[in-house]
Amino acid sequence: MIKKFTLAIITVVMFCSQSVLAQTKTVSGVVSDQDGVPLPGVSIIVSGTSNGSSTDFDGNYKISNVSASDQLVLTYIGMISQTITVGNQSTINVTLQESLESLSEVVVVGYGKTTRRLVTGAISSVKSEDINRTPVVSADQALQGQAPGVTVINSGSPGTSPQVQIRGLGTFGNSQPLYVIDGIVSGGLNEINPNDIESIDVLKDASTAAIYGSRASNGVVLITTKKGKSGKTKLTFDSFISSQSVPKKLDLLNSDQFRQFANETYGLPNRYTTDLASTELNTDWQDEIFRSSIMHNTNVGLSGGNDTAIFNISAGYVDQEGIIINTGFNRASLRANSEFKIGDKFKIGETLSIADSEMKNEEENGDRTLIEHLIKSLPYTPVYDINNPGGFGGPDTTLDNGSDAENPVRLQTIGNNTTETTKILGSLYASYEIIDGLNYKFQYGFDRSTAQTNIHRPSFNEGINSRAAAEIDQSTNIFNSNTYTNSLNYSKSFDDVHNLDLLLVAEKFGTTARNNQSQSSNPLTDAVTVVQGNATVTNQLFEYGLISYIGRVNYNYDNKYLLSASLRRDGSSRFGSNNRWGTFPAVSLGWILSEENFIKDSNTISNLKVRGSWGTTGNDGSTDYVYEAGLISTYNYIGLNNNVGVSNFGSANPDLKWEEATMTNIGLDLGLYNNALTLSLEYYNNDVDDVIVPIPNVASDGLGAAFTQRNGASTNTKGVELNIGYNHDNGDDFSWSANLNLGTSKNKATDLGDLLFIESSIFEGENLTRITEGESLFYFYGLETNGLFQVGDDTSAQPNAAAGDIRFVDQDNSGTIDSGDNVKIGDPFPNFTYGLNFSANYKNFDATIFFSGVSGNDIYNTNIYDLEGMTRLFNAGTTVLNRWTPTNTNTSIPRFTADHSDNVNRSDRFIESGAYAKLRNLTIGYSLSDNALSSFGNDTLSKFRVYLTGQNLFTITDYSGYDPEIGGSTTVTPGQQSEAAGVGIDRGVYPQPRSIILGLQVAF
Amino acid sequence: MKNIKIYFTGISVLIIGILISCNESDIELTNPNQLSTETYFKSSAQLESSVTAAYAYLQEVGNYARYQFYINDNIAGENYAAGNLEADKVQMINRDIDEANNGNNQYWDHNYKGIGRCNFVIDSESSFENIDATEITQRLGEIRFLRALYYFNIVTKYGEVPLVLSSETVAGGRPKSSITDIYAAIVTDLQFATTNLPAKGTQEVGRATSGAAWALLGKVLLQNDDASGAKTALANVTGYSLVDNYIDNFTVSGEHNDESIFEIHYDESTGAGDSWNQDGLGNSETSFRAQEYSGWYNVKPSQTLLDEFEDGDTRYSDTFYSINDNDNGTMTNIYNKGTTTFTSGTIGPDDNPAWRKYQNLDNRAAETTESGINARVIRYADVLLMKAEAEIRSGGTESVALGYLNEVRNRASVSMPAISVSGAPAILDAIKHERWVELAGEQSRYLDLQRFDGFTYLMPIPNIELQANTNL
Repeated sequence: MIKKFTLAIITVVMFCSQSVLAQTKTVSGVVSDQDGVPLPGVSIIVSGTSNGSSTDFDGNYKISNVSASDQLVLTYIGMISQTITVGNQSTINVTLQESLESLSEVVVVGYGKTTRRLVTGAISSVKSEDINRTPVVSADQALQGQAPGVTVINSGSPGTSPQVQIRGLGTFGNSQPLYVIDGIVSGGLNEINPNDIESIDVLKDASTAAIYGSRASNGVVLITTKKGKSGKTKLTFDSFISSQSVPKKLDLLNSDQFRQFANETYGLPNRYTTDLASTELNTDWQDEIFRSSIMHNTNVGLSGGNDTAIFNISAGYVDQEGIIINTGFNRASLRANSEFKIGDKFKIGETLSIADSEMKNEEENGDRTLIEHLIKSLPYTPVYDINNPGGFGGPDTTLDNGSDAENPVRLQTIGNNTTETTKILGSLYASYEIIDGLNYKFQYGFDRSTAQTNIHRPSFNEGINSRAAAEIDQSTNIFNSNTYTNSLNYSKSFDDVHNLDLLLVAEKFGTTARNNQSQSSNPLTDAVTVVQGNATVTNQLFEYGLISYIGRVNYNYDNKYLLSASLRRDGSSRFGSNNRWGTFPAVSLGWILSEENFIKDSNTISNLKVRGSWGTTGNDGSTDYVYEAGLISTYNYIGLNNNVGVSNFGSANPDLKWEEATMTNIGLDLGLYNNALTLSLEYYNNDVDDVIVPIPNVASDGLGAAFTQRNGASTNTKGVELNIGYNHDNGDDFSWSANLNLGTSKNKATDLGDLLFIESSIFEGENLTRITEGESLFYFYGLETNGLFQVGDDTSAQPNAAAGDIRFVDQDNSGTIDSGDNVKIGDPFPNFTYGLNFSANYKNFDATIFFSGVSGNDIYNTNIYDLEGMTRLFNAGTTVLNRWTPTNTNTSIPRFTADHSDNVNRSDRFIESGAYAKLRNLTIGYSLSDNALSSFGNDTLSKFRVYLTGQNLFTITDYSGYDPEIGGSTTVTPGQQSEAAGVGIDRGVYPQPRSIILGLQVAF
Repeated sequence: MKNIKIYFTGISVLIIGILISCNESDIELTNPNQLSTETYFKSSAQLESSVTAAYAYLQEVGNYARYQFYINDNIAGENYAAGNLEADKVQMINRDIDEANNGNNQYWDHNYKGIGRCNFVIDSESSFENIDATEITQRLGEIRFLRALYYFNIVTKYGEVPLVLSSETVAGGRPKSSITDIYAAIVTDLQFATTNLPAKGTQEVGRATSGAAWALLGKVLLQNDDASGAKTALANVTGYSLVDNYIDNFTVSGEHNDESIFEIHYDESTGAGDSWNQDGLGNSETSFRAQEYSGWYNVKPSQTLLDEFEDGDTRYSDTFYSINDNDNGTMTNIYNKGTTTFTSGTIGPDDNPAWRKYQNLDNRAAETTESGINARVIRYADVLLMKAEAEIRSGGTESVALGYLNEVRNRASVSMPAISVSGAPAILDAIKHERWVELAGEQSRYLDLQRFDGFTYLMPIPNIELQANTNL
């Protein structure tokens, strides 16, 4: 009270003293943005004085005691500041231009926001324009190539979330970043309309991420959805339609070639003698499975508000047919965000989104993907055969020599396999300004989702493959989360140079997940598609609770010397009782050299900042109750009245704790020539300790379970990130900009405790990947090949081998090829990932070219096993016609041999380079000029743009498969430990489509 | 005033807010998908189930369903490899079992897992609620009996091993304990069991009884060179008698007869299930014995065993099928309810006698992997012979010892002439012979060799332990 009063007196005194000194007047006017929307809260200060004012809700300002020689400085977050000499004007209307240079751009951080200038950690920000430039159904897909250090592996399967890794891989388990949508932690972005997103901010280092504590070590992705702006009500309409097709086909044998191949190898199947006519059919299974498909997407938005309320309402509908038959994804979504002011100090608001989606799933069967069945399907097999129950053709038990690939068209189209998801995500919040600068905020966030997968598999008989009774499988996953956040924020400047921002948060987070599954079969009819009769029902419940206390101090001296420190304490139900609470500290420092006098006046350097951060974050895994050893009730012993035995299974591990990452980041930001050229450079070094691994139990402890999950390994990931931008905009008709971002990452297992290795990803009975101390994670493991044996070569190391077989390298010089000769033969993770973006405007035309790519990674292509392996009589690639024979010795394809399969041993025969550069996007757009808009739209129209986009027009790669982008497969993953364990193993990946898109954007 | 009110409101809201966040029970969750240790042992049925679980590992492939008989019978020289015997079982016959040997690993694993189930119950005693005190001691008596039996299985095959008497794990595993300490633990458990278990007749059929505990204690003490202790213990085995028909000890119909002291349950009706991979869990409660011995004829009785039988001892034809009398004078080649005859070429890969004990072939044409015949761990004939041995080894009366011995020989179906030799060595020789013949193929010979012949062969501690235990 007293302080406020003193301040008022001082202000009055200062005003008085000024008025004596000069002849003064009052100036007024309206401040608006480029679109003519009035800007409230713009700060207007008379240069060199403390005389100032700000605009009201309608953008009006009034400032008195100014003289003609005074200069008005107008500043507003996100806009270029303007300095205007008053002169003889008394009404000065100002249009502020949106700032293209990034320093004043708003950056969303955990539990708050700041400006790019004051950031001391590593944050990559992606704006809505960049997200929507590439039409996608999920925003994380659009992150690819947009932010250095963010690796995105997309899938062509509509509705399938991409795999996102921030700064490489540092764990063997859950490697997903934490997704936070408007302050609410929520898993994945599939149910969020990308059109509703204002910005995505990726927190990559400890100083920015540690505020999320035990869930932050894989990085944090903050999603901010669009809020309304006060002013004119704005209606927007965006729509596009796209035609998609498969960019590449494999060379498979046709009927004639197959006949030749079969005749020379396994011998012609009996069909050639019993039913020769039927072998003349020529089915191109790729044509049957792949199709041209349509995607369309329409969004309508309404936003606006006044000085007491703002709102943003939007609705969207997207429907993407997959390029594989009977796959697709559609989503209808609705969002309503609003905020209300009650008096000067009290604010209340909400965010709400409802989305309904349906995904038609890709099929697999018998541990073989659809693509694998496609490759193996015989070219003379008809797609349809009305004589078979179910109506599909397929290989016969006796006529086709045991060839048993499933008709891929039948597999993919018969019956139904869809997942319907409904998600409601939102928050309610209220904030109150207790005293000037001190704000209290309460937020309640909720996430409700129900995903129901309905599978109906009717009976059929296509020959060797059949299903006697219809199978019905319905599973429902119901997920609930609630977040209660209390925060207290104090933000104040002292003596104009001490800028302080304090934050205290107490938060409670809890989730429940229920999985219900029911299955039945129906031998009577295929018409009933629901579970009936003797059903197998299973039901599971998982809960997760987290209590957190957070504190953060941001201090800077004169916007030159920056300090940030944060501390989070997490109590989590995912940790054992001995380690239930974890503390995650972080500090960072920054020095803006360009504010120092020795640089300030430089014409070249407009911005120079160095910064460094250190801190710890955690990874609490993705599963609940890992530390617990419960009781199981199947230790049965017959012949006793009570023959159900109940006892412990496994060992509780009350010491189980989060995986702990210690992260160091050093960064440099440079802006040259008035920030036309910007450069950011980051170096990071992350040590992860206490990585959770399954440690074998001691047998004499008699625990029952073979393993206990323990914190027993360490990893290190380090890398460099670079972002260079050039922006040429002189206000001419032609402007252009370019941006290159690049991130490197090198991971390695530094300690595995007593474990010699960890293996995973089984293919044909062998684990393809390994983790050993000192090597990169999940490297490919196998034999090294050295060409083919030729006639007369010494095959003593491989007694089974003859001329035309693969020669393996005897790594241990033992004289024989055995398990001791397996070595590292590839690395699934790239050395670096990059994105390259050009955009240009000429008059009303705009154009964008966007490349993204990866380099230095390998792919284990299991399809080669089917295309060139010749292990059984299936269809194959045309390369088998070039196999080694006594007359065709100059080839890399080994000979045919029916009786031993060493040629298909796990080896670098299946390893290919996974490097690629994709032309992700090429767009040309045309917008109506302001004149045309006003005459055409009668002043109601503010934007009208049409555009044409080509997506994935070409890919530069040496990879022989459909698509070099291969994430951990979600369909066929026997023995897989984690999503990351399957990266780079191509088991028949769903290729990404090539698309031609025509779009329209209108705003009123 | 107004400001104070606002501060007050603000602070109240904050306090309420923080209170919402402060309830620590929100992060102390237990898995609702399975029973939890914290909430268990709150009824007698729950305690009973935990004891049931401790029996389960006696039934497994590492134990009486498979490797208990292979390890004992093969190492003791009662078998030879007749059919396509797998390498790990050949190692047993050759007495060169290695650390990777499958049977060795399974035997170790399943006996220690049985011990684990026992330790779990014993460790949980403090959390028992709503259970009658007498019942608690009875159940603990069963548990201590079972743990003693598992340890006896282990110590006699491995010698020094880790002595694990609690569910608590030790980083890197426990080191070996001395044989003395292990026997001391076994004896302590059995002493508890003898005083707290009910006698046969009052105890539910199939569960451990005081008689079983005394009998096992006698066996253990005898094995550990305490003949007088054994004599005292065995004197307490009362209420049992020999059945008239020797063969009734190895059939389904003869289960839990007057001679039976402790059996492992098998039941053909539970089916094969996942019996090859059984690991204490599930419903595969059948034995491979019948299929392995005279189904596939993987092993057949060794010539030394056949030769040990006296002429005219009917236990020969009760124990073996044969297609000639092999000088013994008794012979059975009829099976399948008397309808089928073994002839040359039908009794396995060679024409030597095959096992009849624990086979189902008397009642059917062929064996399956799902035999339901209970395994007799201890029966009264064994006790009588142990009493005779203890009597002599403790310097007791020779006539008393011969009385026990001749009681066994005088069983109605056996009726062999009484032995009347004198002097401890001669009587011990007679007992050794009688045990060999009476208990052929009943996992007795291995222990007898240790006591009578200074046999010292032990299995090496298997890989399943070595790979994780760094303190051995």
